[in-house]
Formats: sequence, structure tokens, C-alpha cells
Amino acid sequence: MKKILIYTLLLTFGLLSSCTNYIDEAFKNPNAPTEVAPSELLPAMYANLASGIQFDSRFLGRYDQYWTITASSGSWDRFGYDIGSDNGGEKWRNHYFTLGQNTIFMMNAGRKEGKDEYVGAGHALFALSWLQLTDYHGDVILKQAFDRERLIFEYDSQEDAYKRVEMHCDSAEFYFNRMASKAPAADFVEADKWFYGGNITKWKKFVAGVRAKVLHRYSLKSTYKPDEVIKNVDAALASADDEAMVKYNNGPVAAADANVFSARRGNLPAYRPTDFFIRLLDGSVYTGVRDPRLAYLFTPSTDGTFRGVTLNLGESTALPANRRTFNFYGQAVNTAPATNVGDALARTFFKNDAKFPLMTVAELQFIKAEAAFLKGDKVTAFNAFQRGIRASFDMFTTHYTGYTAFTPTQVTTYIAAVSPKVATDITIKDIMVQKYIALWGYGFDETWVDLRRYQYSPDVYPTWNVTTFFPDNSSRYAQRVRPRYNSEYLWNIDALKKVKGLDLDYHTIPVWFSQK
Amino acid sequence: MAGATVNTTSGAPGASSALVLRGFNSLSGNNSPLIVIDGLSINNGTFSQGFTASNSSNRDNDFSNRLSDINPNDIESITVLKGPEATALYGIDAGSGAIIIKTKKGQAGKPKVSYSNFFRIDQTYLFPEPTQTVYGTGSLGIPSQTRLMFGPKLSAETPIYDNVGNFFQDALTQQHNIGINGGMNQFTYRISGSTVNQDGTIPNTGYDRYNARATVSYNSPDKKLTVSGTWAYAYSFNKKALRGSSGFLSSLYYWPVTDDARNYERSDGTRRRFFDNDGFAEPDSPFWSVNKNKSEDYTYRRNYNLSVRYQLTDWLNIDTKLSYDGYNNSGFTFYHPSSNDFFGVGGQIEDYAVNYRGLSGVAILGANKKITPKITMGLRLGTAVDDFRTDFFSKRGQRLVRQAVGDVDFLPDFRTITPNTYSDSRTLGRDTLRLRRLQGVFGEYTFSYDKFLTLTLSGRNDWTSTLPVNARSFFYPAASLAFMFTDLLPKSKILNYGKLRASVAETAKDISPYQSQSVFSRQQTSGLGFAYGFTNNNPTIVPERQNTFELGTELEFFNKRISLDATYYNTKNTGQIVSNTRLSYGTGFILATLNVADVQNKGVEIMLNTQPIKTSRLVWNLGFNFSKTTNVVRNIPSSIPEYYNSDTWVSGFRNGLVVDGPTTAITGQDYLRNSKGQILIDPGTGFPQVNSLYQLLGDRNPDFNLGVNNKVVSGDFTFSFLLDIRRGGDILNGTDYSRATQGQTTRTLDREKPIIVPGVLNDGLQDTDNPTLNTIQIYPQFQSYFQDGRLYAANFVERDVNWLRLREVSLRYNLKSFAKRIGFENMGVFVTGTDLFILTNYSGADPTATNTNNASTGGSGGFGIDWFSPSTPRGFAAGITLDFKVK
Repeated sequence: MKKILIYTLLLTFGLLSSCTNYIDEAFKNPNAPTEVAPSELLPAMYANLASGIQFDSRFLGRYDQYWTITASSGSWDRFGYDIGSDNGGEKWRNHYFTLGQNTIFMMNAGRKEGKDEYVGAGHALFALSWLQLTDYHGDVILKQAFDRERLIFEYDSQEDAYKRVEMHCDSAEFYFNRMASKAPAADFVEADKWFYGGNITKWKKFVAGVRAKVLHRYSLKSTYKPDEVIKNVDAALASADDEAMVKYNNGPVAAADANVFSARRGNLPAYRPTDFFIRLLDGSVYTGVRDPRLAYLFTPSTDGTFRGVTLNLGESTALPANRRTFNFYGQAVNTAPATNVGDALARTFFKNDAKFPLMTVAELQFIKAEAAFLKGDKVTAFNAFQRGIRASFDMFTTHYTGYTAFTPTQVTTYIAAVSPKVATDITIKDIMVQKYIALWGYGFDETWVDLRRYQYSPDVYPTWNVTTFFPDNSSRYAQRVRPRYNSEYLWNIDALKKVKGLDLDYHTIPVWFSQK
Repeated sequence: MAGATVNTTSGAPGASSALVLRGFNSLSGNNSPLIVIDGLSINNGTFSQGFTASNSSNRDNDFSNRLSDINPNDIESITVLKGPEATALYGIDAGSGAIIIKTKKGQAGKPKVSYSNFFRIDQTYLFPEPTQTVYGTGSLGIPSQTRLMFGPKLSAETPIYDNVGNFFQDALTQQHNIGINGGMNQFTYRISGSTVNQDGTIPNTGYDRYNARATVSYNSPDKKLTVSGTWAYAYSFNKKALRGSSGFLSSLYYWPVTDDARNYERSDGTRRRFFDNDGFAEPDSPFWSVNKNKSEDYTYRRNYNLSVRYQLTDWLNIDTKLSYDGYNNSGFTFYHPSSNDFFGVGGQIEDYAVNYRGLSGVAILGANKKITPKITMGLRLGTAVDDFRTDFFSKRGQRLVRQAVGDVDFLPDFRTITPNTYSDSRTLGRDTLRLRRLQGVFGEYTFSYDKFLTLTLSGRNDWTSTLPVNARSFFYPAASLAFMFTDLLPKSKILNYGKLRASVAETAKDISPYQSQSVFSRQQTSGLGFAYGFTNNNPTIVPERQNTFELGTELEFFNKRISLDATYYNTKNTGQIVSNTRLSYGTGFILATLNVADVQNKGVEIMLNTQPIKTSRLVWNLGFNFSKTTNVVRNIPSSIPEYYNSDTWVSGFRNGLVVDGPTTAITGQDYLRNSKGQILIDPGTGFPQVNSLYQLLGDRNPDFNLGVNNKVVSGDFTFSFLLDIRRGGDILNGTDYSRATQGQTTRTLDREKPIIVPGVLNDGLQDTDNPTLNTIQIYPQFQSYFQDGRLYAANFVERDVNWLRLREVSLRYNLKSFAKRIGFENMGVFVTGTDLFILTNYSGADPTATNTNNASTGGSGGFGIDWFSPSTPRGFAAGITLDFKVK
């Protein structure tokens, strides 16, 4: 009997000691990975960084007066928003969800594997993403963001968010500098195929560009340092080859593999350029000077005239057929092109595999021009202004080919026609209008920052004229976009209340950068 | 059974049912008790459509819960452990109680054969309100090609069809059971088999089950060693009709009464439509749905059990048990290419298979010794291991035919789909593996003093593989004290026996496998790769805790002619895991699984058994079974104003939980109201405005349940019946809601009369002392008042639904003397009626069969949300029982 007892006890202890292993084997999820290599995370980040702005441009593009829809009385055309909807909340989603933890995981994995390129890239992408996020929403969840234990997420000021952008720029620079004597890892080069192809020098220029952008956000503040902005622009992208382009594969399997703006995705069938934008190009504002980019970007009505749709008025269905406007897929309808038409008639940013610019030389040169102008150095401003225009043409001829290219004469003639006769005659209007034109189709965020810094002034943006506003606006322009409805207005109300997020006119309260 | 609730999904054969003891403790987890057969647990899962390739909501199909694989004729006894006392012995899975089933064993002696059967006719007899016959199809008073019945008035000559009456059929069920048992020398055996063949009252539905079971036991001559082995096998087949919004029942009640729904097919095999030129956009006819869309599943179940018990000394024994429990459950759902929901994708077939196996073992060392003549002490020490593995496979194919809309190839039956057409299909596959392993050690100490006082202390430590390593091990104690107070009193003829008992216990519950790990999912954007999925599966998750206090008494009066067993319990659940709740995206995710909620559950259970008549000629037993439970969500973080289960979210209402609301709440759309509760009216239109936030609309939990059990035995006759009574508890009549928006119910008949919706204008003055009363007339017929959902869910909550149902009535005649004469041991005949009638204030079809979802839905699920659930049919059965001995 004693023997049996001893055997039983032995068996019991045997079972218990093997238990740790036995239990642990069953813990890990076999159905999906809980860890992946950093190179697996990078490609989707580019796509998401682009698609956040691209999806939101359906609404932000109307605040910018870049484009609008054929239907009238859109709430966004009146500088309002869609109540109880996630419209305009894609950047929020992409920043916190599709980039957020993925970027953190990638940077940690990069550190663990001793691959500084991933850590640098993570910081650089975060820098741009935080910049866009706070430009767009003003106050955002910053210090408590990505805390997996938290239930309520407090908001922080835009000033703090810009400091975070600078911090990420510092860190990115630090890690990329450590790459000076190292070749980037092969898996990084492969994953970075969709952005910079693993070229660390270009990455560093990109970081300088983000820094120039964020420092320029302080233009109305006493702390503004135009020399720092100029210094960073000079260290940033120098030619079209340096431009930060998110690339799309457009493979046959999934539509998500194609450019968000593309004919294949069909997200913008009812969108048209605004008449305001057309006026800047067709010789109305620059009297008699027709911008070569007009025909490069748009399809004219069948009577040969380029037309735009007036914000908030839409396009009348009574309009004669030959005066109808065309969408960006090259059709005068409000539906996506049939599969057999595809992107054949689409132009530039609207091709299925078109790149989407996150940052361009033109954008930075106009920032430099404005910084120099504010500093009082009109010669530098004039030169950067002209270089900015030229860079815009370069961008098209480098990245958006397939149409009759601009001739050098065309470009030179155009620049001469829209430039002041002498450098010292340059005005802020000259700079901002050309910047506005150059950023059409991609610089939605940067342009909205400019519009708000200059209070949507017709003195800066000639013929800008908005008279109908959303009821809650009390005739004021939009100054910020509300945080994503299904994230904040349902599940973070307590924190949102503290920043007046539930006020009816919250979207008209000026953000930090636009106040002196 | 007091405190036990069975929430049936529907009245269809093989329907799943969720068994709940003492209310809902887990907000999103499993609330069903553990099923224990002969000492070890078996799986009682219900297949969740979340594991299908299309990962659909648990709404449009149903799958039997696996307890249905058991042959009831093999059961010797059932004990229900409602409280947490079950967990010390059976571990964390018994956190919601346990049903302890003992099976029949062989008895020594010559082989004895028992045979029984019954034949039953089922009939569906409970229907919702018939469709109105005043107005025909159309919209805004104008005839149009729609099933909406907002058209012009019907003329007297318009033929009206009884589509509902034509649809259901009487159905036959037959069951045969046979058992043989006996024994010789040290061995006893029992072998049994049974067949069930059930047809549904819904055409083309049915349920078949075949069981076989063998048990062999050995007792050593010195009686020290007992070995027993069981082999059980079951095959079941379930042929189903599809439920929910694309299912047959909604289309049956939606179908215009001016059209004969039986005429469902065109000569080319495609669906006949009510209107001919709308492609296939028109919803399916119910007859089409049950004849052409198919869903079947079949299950092979195996259960093997071995138990060895050895008596070491007269006070010490060791008892070990091992079991294998496994099933292969597979099935398919087929939607014909010209069916409404799937014509756009050219039809769909979805297959699934579940392979489950559970291995369990337990070893208990037991000691029991009389220390003094009055003091007895017992000690049990044990260890248990469980290893559960479930593999899910599912694949889906669409575009079963080459198809442009309106051009459907001839397709008489889905089995004729050729490989050629299938290769053109869009396919999708999904495989999931779930492993769960448990290990436990436990001990129990009992001290008793002369039966007068018994103290039990127990403790258990469990390890579970579903939790992260630092939260994986947890201990929970329990203590109970029983005290027979009648021992202190002088012997009484009135009160024969009296006992008081009290206990405190703690238990814990783990989470479903892998819920503490966030995973990456494949991306389709350029460059492919991965990104995190939606859910923040928190790595710091810990088990949820449950603390129960229980107080009870057992009393017997008048020579046991009256006996009473009453219990009060109070359970607090803290650190409840809510899974897949929404949070601010600030977490970096969209959903989260967190330990955040607290729930309290209190209740009373009373069992009263009486024997009003006891003579040599007649014995009448009358029993009452009463239970009442109240449950409250004590705490949910303020950032989650409402926690809901999205599977239960049908159309403007759902199972949603709010702080201080019940765990059985219904939330849904209500009107926008001012601070005084008056309805706000749009000053422009005169229409009421809706509150975009879902409001607490009702509580599905009843005030009480009462079962009344009657048994009268007189000579060879036994007459018994069982009444099921429920008082209170709200039901959301989604069927009525949906049909009202279709213009089919009498509620919508007053449509020609202008109305003024009582309320105040939402004009800025609504919250002042002088709000503007609404005076704007609206014309329901011409302003689409009803069909635009101006009747919000709040109008369709039926409050305090009571019912009295005759569950079963049976008359049995024993023919023992006749049997002996013709050489049998015993013989009986019986007739039984099931669910013969119901008295209720519920306006819908059947308040006892209301569930949007099937039983696999977590938390309190979808019961009490009536969304086109088939009602329970009534049945008339007759059968015989026969016993004989082999000479």
C-alpha cells in the first residue's frame, strides 16, 4: 500500500513539474503572428501615411477650394462637417491605428536587431504624421497616446505636438547619422522600395524637410526663426529625384494595391476642380497668362473650355452637355470608369499606379521664399519663389509622365509672366498663390495651414470669395477638423469635453499656429 | 430545476439552447455551466459563425449545442451544482455552475432488456399578428413594385392567400430506445442504443440522431478495486432552414398576402419574383428559401471513459478517471444564385468543419475517518489535467454560375455544380486552431460532528494556457458550514428536519484562447506585409473574480409530506473581462479586451415539494420550483457609455450594457427628448427626432420563474403535468417592428388620418419652461411616416411579459400483470402532450422562443430579442415501454 501511495505522489509531482511547459505550449496564438520582422511593417505604413491624407482630401480639398463635388450644398463646401460621421477622420485612424503601434513595434524591433535604419524611418514617419495630425485637428491625444492600459485619453496642445515633431526629427537624424558608415540592411532596401529605396541620404533630406515645415508653423509667433527654416530647406530635398513619393504597385489581386485617387479605386468620381482654382490657371487672375499645368492636369469641357465647379453650388444638371465639367478620370459623369476604360483617360495623380507626394521641392522652396520674405530678404525670397515654380514643373515631368511634356520655353515664359519685374517687388501674394497652385492634388495639409495663417484672405488669395457657411459656424471659416467620430465622440467624451470638442462651433475655433 | 434557465434559440428541430444557472455573470464570456458526465467534463459548445470563412454574425443559422448528442435514456441521475462549490472539484470551467450527470450502469444478474419508443406529431400553432388585408402593396399610397404594403386600398375581389398557413406542416418524430444490462462474476455491463428521427414543422427541416453506448465494470472479489469503462458514440444530422433577415421566416411574414408564395420557381429553375423586371433584388419567397437555400450539418461524437478506484484501507482510497471526448462536426450553407442576398455574387456555398477533442484526467486521494464516535474527518487531495483542441476549417465559394445580373444559368440543385463553374468562383478559406490546456490541484477538508455540524474547507489552484504567464496561476478558496438545528430542538411531529447552511466561495474565470495577444494581420497594400489587427488584446489581462455568499435552509414537515429547500445568494464579479469593446483610437487599436467591469447577481431559489394526498390508492405529488434573480452592472468605465455585443445588433436595438443597468438589458433607438422627457419634434417637418445614442429600453430578466410539477399515481395509472410560469421581463418584438415598417401590421392602418405627434418642437425653447407644443399635422400615408422608421425600437419593447405554458402532460398506464402473463417483466403505454398551450400577454408568436442569435453568443446573448424566431410547436406523442429478462 505504501508503494501505491508513493507512486501516486510521484506521479502527481511529475505531472506538476511538466505542467509549466505543457501549459505554455498552448498559450501562443497559432493563427496569426504576434511578432513580425520590421521589414514586414514598413510598406503598409507608407500606404497608410498617403491614404490618410488622400481619403480626408475628399473633404479637406473642399476647405482648400482645390476641388468640390457636383452636388450642391455640401456641408464641407460651407466649412462645416458631417455630423455623426467618420468623414474627415481617416488621418486620425491612420495616425493612431495603422501607424501607431506598428511604428512603435518596428522601432523596437529595429533597436533589438541593431538596425538603425528602421528606428530612423520610424521617427521620420512619426514626425510627418504628428505634424499632419495636429495641423489638421489642432489639439490631439499626444502624451497618453498608445497607452494600452488607458481608457480615457487626454488632449494636449498643438504647441506640444509640434515639439514632439521636432523631437522625432532629432531622433531620426540621430539614427540616420549613425548609418553614416553602414550600408542599409537588404530587407530595409526591399521594404523601402515603396518610398526611398533604402537611400539614407534621401531620408536625411526628408527629415530636414519635415523640420523646415514644423519650424515654419511658428511664423506668427515671436519665437519664429526664419533662418532656421531656410537652413533646413537648404539641407532638404534638392531635386525631383529627392522628392518623397509613396509608390503603388497596382497588382491584379487587390484594389488596395492601387493609388487611393486612382480610377481603379474610384473614390473621386463626382469631384471636379473648383472654379477658383481654374481662375488661377486659365488667365483670369494672371490676366492673359495661361498656366501650362492647366491642360496637363485637367480635361476641358467638350466645347474646349476649362471649367470648374463653384464651391457649394455644384453643377447644374441643366447645363448643356458641351459645357459639362470632367472628373479626374476623364469623364463627364459621377461614376467611376468601367473596367474596360480604367485609368486610360485619367491624368497625373489619378492614374492607377500614380505616386502620391508626401513632400516636394516646390513646397519647400515656397516655404523658404516666405521665410526669407518675412525676414526681409526679398532677393532670397524671389529666387526661391522662381525655383519653386520650376520645381513644380519638374515634379510633373519627372514623376507624372505620359503626356506632352512642358517645353523649357513654356516654363521660362510662364515664370517670367507671373514673376514681379524686379526681385524687391515680390509680395506675399505672389509667393502664396504660386505655392497654392503648385500643391494642388497633394499638398492639402500644407495649403490649409497657409490659408489659416493668412485668414483665408482674398488679399493673399485673389478672387477667394465664400459667402455661405454651415449653420453652426456663425459665418466663420473652419479652423480645425473634429477628431474621428467613432473614436472620440463616442468613446472619449470626457477628455474631448475638456477641450470644448463637444461645442457646436468647435471646428471654427482657431488653432494655436494661426494665432499671434 | 430552480435557478436554471434554458434559453432556446428557436422552436426548430436541433435548435441550440443556452443553459444558464443563476443569471449572467460574465459580460462577454461564456455563462453556461460545465457538463460533467461520470466525473469528467464534456464539451457543450455551439458552433459560432465567427469561425466561418466569411466570419459572419451569429444570426442567420443555428447549430445544435453538443449536449444534444447525449441520449437521455442513458442518464441515471442529474445533479445541479449552481453555486461556486462546483469549482473546487471541477475547476474554472465550472465558474457558472455544473450539471453532474451519472449514467446508467449494468446490474448483476441475467440480461435484462428494456425497449421504449414514442411517436409524436408536431404542429406549429403560434404565429405573430396576421398581415393586414386593407391596403395592398405600394408606397406613399401609390401602387409600386415593392413588398411594402403602403399602397392603395385593396378591392374586395382581390384574392388573399394564407401563406403562413400554407407554409408550416405537421411533422412526425419517432424515437426507439433499447438497453441491455446484466452481469456475471465480477463483471457487469450495459449496452444501449437509440434512434431519433424528427421532421420539422418547417418544410425540409429535420433532425436525426443515432446513439450507441456500452459500459463494462469490474469489481474485484475483495471489493477493493473497481474498474469501469464506457464507450459512447453518436451521429446526428441536422437539416435546417436559414433564419434572420434573409431567412424564411422574415420573408414569410413579409410576403404580400395578395400573392401566392407557394408559386416560387420559374420553369427554368430560377426564382419566380413578385415583380418580373427587378433583377433579383426582390427578397426571396419563404418557399424558395426552404426549398432552394440549404443548410445541413452532421456530427460524429465519441466519448470514451475509464475510471479506476482502489480502496487502500477502509478509510483511504484513490480514484482516477480518464476521458476522451471528441467530435467532428461539419456542415454547409448554400445560397442559390438567384436568391436575393447572393445574386450579386452568383450564389454562395460555405463549408465548415470542426474537429474537437478533449482529453481529461483527474486523480483524487480520499481519506475519511471516524476520529471519535462523534467526529468524522475527511480529506481529499486531487489533481486534474485538461487538454482541449479545436480545429476549425471553413471555405467559401461564390460565383457558382457565370452570371450577369438577371441571367442565371439553370441550376436545379447545388450538387450539380460542375468543377468547371466552381473553378470560376471566388474562394475564401479560413482555418483556426484553438488550444486550451488546464491544470489544477485541489484539496478539501471536511469536519463533521455527529451529522449535527459539518464544516467544509476547500481550495484549488488552477493554471490555464489562455492567460499570460504572470496571470496564469490562481488560487481560490471556499468554506461552508451546515448545521442541523432540529437536533437541538425536542422531536416534533410538525418539523421533522431542519438544516441551515452558509457558504462563501471565490472562483475565477479565464478568457478564450489567445485573447491576451494582439496579432498582426496581412495587408493588401503595395508591398504587402503586416499591420496590427483591430484588437488590443491586453497582455496584462488577469482572470475575472467571482465571490459568492450563499445562505440556505432545508426543512421537512409532517413526515416529509412537505419539504422545502430555500437558498439566497449574492455574487459579485469583479475585474470582468469585456472583450472587443470599443475605445478611443488613442490606444493604437480600435477594440480592446480589458478587465474593467463589475457585475452583481443576487437571487432566491425555493423548491417546495408537497404530497397533498397519500393513500394506498392514490398518491399526489405537487412540487413548486421558484427562482428569482436580479443582476446589475456595477461598473463600466465612463469612456464606454454602452458596451454591446455586435452580433445581437440587428436593426436599431441590441444587447447593450450600461452602468447600473441589468446584464440582460436591451438598448436601442428612442426619440430625442427634452429634459422633461417630452419627445422633440423637428420644427420643419413635424416628425419626431431620433436620439443617435442608444438608450436603455428594457430588461429581459424576468421577475421570477415558477415551475409547477404534478404527479398523481393511482394503481396502474400515472398522470403528470408540468407548468412553466414566468412573470415579468421585457421582450423586444423586433418582428413586429420590422413588419410595421413594411406596413403589414394593424398598427399602420390609421395611415390616412392626419396625426400630430405629441411632443414639443426642437426650436431652442425645448428645455425652457414654455416649450412650443407641436401642432404640425403629418399625413402618415403620404409622408412615409411608418416605413422610414419613425417608429423607433422603443415602441416595440413589450414590458413585463408573463406566460404560463403547459410544458408537458402525460398519462401512463402500467401493464405489469398483463406483461407477466405474456412473458415480459414489465410493460407500459403512455400518451404525452408537449407545449400544448400558452397563456401570455406577449403580442408576438412565442415568448419562450425569442433569440436573435444562437447559443454560442457570449454574455447574456440575444434571448428576449425576437427577430423572426420560429415558435415552439406543440406535440402529441404516444409510446410504449417494455422490459423482459433473458431466461
